[in-house]
Amino acid sequence: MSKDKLTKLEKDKIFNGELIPQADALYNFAYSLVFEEARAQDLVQEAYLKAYRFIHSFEPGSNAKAWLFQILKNAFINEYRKKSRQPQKVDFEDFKDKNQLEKQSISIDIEQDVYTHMIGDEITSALNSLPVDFRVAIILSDIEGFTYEEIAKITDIPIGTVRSRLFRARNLMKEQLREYAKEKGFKELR
Amino acid sequence: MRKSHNCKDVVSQFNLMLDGELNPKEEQNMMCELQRCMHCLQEYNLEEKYRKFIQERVQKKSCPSSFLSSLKNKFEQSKDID
Repeated sequence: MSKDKLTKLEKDKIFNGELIPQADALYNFAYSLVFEEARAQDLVQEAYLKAYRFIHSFEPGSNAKAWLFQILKNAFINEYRKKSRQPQKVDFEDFKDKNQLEKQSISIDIEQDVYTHMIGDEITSALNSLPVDFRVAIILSDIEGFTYEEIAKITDIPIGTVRSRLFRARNLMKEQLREYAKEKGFKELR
Repeated sequence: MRKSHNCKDVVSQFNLMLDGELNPKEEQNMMCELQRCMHCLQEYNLEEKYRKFIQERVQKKSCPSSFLSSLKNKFEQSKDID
């Protein structure tokens, strides 16, 4: 069977069986990029439309999730290009030597009272406050469980950069959580 | 001869291990290395708990069901998407 000549029935089978089950993860990823339901839905729809058009290039049983995430991320970049706006870029030089982010891994004890009392909203806000590249790194690795190789493909950066970006992203996230905890601890003391 | 212990290297390596990027042999070596240094072991435990914390507590947005139904309908009804 030539994959270029899939029938509508065959396409629909792959689409409904392998691509649609990723809708929740894909929507969560889209939302974390744009923070607006309507725009997140537009991105998801566009990603599915492109996936359907190029479904012959998808190998059934392979990694549908990584493929869709890559398509969606490209759609996100194109959306910004069309509007002649650049996605929020992270200038890594800015982070050098600040809070030792570059040099040393930061650790926090999340079993301390102040962290265990943090609600999901606060933790999600801490994540959402990170620059987009760092936010995406944490979502892809820590939330969605993609490998470095998959993240490199989705975000179109070398594996070494994935590793260093994740290191910085996690340090930034811990700093954010500390700030929230400090604020919360302070409030509780009053 | 056994390589001398370097806490900075160990921290960087156990992050790879937690990310699932080490092979079983490397993982085994890492676990031995962690047993050699209380500081590294504590850091590893904190990092492991932190990862779990993020996994469990970050809220995920679900795809709205009405949007998903209309999306599926569009694809089912359309004969032109090629």
